[in-house]
Amino acid sequence: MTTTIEITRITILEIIRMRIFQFFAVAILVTPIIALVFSNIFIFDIGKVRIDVFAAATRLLITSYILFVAVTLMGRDIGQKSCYQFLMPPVSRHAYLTGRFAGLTFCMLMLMVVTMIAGELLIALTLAETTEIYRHGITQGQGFTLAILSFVQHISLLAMVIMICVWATGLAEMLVFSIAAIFLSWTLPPIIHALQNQEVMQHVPPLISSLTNSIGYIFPQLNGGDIAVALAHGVNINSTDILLHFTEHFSYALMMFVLALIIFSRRDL
Amino acid sequence: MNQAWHIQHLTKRYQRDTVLDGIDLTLKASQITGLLGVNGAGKSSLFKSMLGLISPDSGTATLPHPSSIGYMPDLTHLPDSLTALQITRHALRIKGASALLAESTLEEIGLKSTAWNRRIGSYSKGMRQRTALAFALAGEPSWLLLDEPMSGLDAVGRKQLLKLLKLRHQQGAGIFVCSHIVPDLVRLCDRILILSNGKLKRDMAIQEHSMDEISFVEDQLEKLSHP
Repeated sequence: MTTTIEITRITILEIIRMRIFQFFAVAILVTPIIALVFSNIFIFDIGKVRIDVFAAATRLLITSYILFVAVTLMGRDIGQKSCYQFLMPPVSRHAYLTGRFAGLTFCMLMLMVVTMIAGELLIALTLAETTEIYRHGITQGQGFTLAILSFVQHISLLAMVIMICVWATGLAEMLVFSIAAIFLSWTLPPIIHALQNQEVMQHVPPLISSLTNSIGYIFPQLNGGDIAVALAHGVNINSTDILLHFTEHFSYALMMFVLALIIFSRRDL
Repeated sequence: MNQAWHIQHLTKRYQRDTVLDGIDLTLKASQITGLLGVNGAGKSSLFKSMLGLISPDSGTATLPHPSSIGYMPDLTHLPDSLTALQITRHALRIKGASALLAESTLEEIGLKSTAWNRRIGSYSKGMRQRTALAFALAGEPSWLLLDEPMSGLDAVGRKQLLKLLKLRHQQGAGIFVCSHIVPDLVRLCDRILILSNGKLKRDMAIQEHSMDEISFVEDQLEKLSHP
């Protein structure tokens, strides 16, 4: 346990001293300004556009964090063998990978706190300068909800990318497979969701429909867009949905991470 | 005194290439053991197998009981964004020692105090090498496995390192070191092994650490590596 905590600490220290991480944090803080500028193009849907732009931009930045910080860190660890320095008794492979994952998650949480602050500032400004008709159901506290729900989604994405990294060899492979997996996780679920529509299902053979349902069950909704859209439209997300969202993503993250541990403990380094 | 390290019938293949071919060896903590071999002889593979970084195809190579080990790989990749002081403190905490010993560890390996708080990314090769050494030596591990520790060090640094390793050995650490610099190994070690094409070709006791022994070991290395 002590070794895991120490690897977590070193990972956090390493990441927060990276310029790219500092850039991501500043970029998230600047995002509300971009949202404000962008919303001026529109006449009526000001509140909706602001939240949509903010959610999309922050999601892109957090995904970039996963790709350019997490993948490059794992690429250096495994591809350039920098893990050799640490993987000595008393540090086990499990402790090492758990520490890395915990450190990366903690730094992502820091970015989410920045997202939360920036989101709440944007909402406060929108509420102060617009009348009810332009707000589209936006209320104070939605920036907090957006950040938390998006964070949960990105934990599963991070776990998936870690699993890919411990399986792949070399940074190029890690990046290509991670980008492919992220792309699929963004595009597949909406297609499956559309296919699961009752009207569509009536025209599909039973085998295909059960196959579609199975893929729908095993592939989580890793795209944060649904939540951003719901929030932008002023839709209240009920507690059952939030609970299911948490359960789905934590289960998926756990499953991916256990798989990563199994692969990492068996592979040649 | 520490336990001995038993390596039995160790074989490792990469596709059709056998990099370690049935190595049988016992390393005693009471001796400083050196490993010689030309490039591609299997030295690093032997170290990695002993540390469990690669799985052997057959045989065993690990310590029978958990022990604290300091390892310095042939290529050091320390985090560029951290400083030598930070990384040494972490190494100490990982090994259950006090982080307050970081300064004395860095002094011991001869890294200038003005560099302690600079990012490793700005270091020269020799300074990186010294930092990696500090990481390996931190916490007084019971075994030290050093792969090319003299690489990148100047003459003074190499001399200091040899002195330091002898001191650590007197304090009870088992040492297994691999290097291409024959005179340094002969001056340091009590026993030298020559590895060629994955096979252990020679196991020699070093008694006088003299120029004659250096010449003898160099001749043996040349003879066994290019039959």
